[in-house]
Formats: sequence, C-alpha cells, structure tokens
Amino acid sequence: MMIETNQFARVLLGNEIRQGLLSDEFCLHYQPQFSSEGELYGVEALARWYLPVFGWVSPARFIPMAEESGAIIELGDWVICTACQQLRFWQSLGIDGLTMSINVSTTQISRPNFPQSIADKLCEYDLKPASLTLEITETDYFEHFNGSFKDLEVLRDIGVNLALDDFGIGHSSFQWLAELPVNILKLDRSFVRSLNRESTRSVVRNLFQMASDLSLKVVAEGVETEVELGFLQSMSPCHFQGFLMGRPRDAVSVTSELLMQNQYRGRQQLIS
Amino acid sequence: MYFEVSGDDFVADLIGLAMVLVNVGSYAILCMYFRLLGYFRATTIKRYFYDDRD
Repeated sequence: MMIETNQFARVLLGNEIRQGLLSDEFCLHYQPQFSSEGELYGVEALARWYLPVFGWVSPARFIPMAEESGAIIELGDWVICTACQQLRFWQSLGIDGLTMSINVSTTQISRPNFPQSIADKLCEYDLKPASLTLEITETDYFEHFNGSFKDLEVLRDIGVNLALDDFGIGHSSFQWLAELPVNILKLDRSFVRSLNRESTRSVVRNLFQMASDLSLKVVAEGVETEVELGFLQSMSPCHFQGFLMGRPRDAVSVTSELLMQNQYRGRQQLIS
Repeated sequence: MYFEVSGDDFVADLIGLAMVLVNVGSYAILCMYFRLLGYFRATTIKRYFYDDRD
C-alpha cells in the first residue's frame, strides 16, 4: 500500500495527526495474548484513529504517514503514555502479572533519550519493567540499526522485554538472531497462515527448537483457525495472538474480560 | 459627525466606494482561500487515507 506522497500532503496529514492527538481523536485498542494454557497473560496496544466527518482511518494508512511526516514521535509518545496509564489502571483493579506490548518505530528508538524516557514512564506509572514489551519489526532492526544495538541493550538491561515483530518475513540470519538483544520472537502471520503445508510446519518446528535453544519466547501472530491453534499448541511453550482468541477491543471490553479471568483465578486458588 | 472632503463630492464618493470594494474583495478572497484549503484538506485526506485504488 505504498502511496507516493508529496510535500504538501506530508505536511498537511502530519498536522492532521498532531491535531488529532490534541483533539482526542486517537484511542488504543488492545488485542489479548494467550499462553499455551489458555491464560490471558498480556495485551498488545494498537492505535486507532477516528477522524470526525470521515470515519475510522486504517492504521495501515496513518502509521506510514506518521513516519513520513515525523508525527510518529508525538503519536508514539502518546501510545506509550496511554498504554502505561491503562496498565496502571488494570493493576489498581488487582489485575497483576499482565504485560503490555507496544509497537515502536526506529524513529522513536533513534532518539538519544529514548531508553531514559521509557525508564521515566515506568517510574511515573509505578510499573515493573518486565510488564512492558517493546516490539520492533524485523525489517526495522536490519534496515536501521546496522549492528549497533546500544539503546536496545540499555532497555534490555533495565528489564524491559524486547520483541522481534513480524519475524520470518525480513532478512534475519541465525548469527544476527543470536546477537540481537531480544527475548521474544513474534512469528509472522504469513507463517501461521501456511501451516497447512508440511514444509512450513517443518520450518516452524525447527524455529521453535532454535528459539528454545536461544531462550526466546515465541508468540504466534494471526492465529485464526482451530487447526493452526492445534499445531502451535503442540509446539509448547508457544503464546498466541489472533482473531480466533480475541480481536483488538477497547479498554472497557478488555477490562471486563480481565476481571472475569481474575475472579476465576481467585476461585481456583480458594478451591486448591 | 462627518468629514469634509475638499474638492468635488463625487470624488469623495468614489474613494468611499473603492474602499468598500477593497474590503469586500479582501473578505471574499479570504473566504475563497479557506474554502480552497478545506477542499484540498478533504481531497488529500480521502486520497491518502480512504482511497482503496492505491
């Protein structure tokens, strides 16, 4: 979905995004992530934009535009703040042990004070570093970092989880994978979709073995059918995310699901 | 209260009329500018955010 953008459009739409942030036109939806035991252990925060008069804007359209216009800095900061605030709220309701995954762009990470700003946010909202996962796409890693992961290493040392998003469609080599300061691999949906082919199953099996050897957690994205889920469950430990288990929803809807799970867990503990 | 203009009254009327026209013209140009800006905003938003043909 590449559109050639002229200077006028870039400035105008960048300003629209900035204005939208000031006018509360953006919101976050949360997609649940499940462990192989079926427990909701985390959510991925996804930005959504409702433009008055025009309607919902697809993230596939506005995020590349935010990157091009530079508005991704403001948008990214807003996402981090809002997600941390939401996580704090959930913790205040007694929902503990939940992780919040946030997509970050290389433009954000390239800023010199990025690790410090994350540490400040964790302090401000009184969150444990391990409750935050920053996701960076595989393509971004290899196109922008050129082997220098200093900032990412600082983040890892703080205790923040780092995930390699859309893994499998970029140019990862095994050597790079061993050097990357990540602790989570997010298996791209294209892998999951073609699990009906034996060749893909074989690749995925080996990938899980490799991830296990490197002590990396694997999260499979885009799980949409029972067959896909069944195969991935046999690859345990695997974590899942996809429309089969739950679409991205607003905070209110996710809160009620989390509260229900929390009550269930409480009852189970009482019984045992 | 009025200002007395030296010379022919007709010239004074003409000057007054010209001033009114300049003011109205400026206002119209400003309105057109904002209308055009709104038009470009709408078409750009539709083109980049909603047009599925791209």
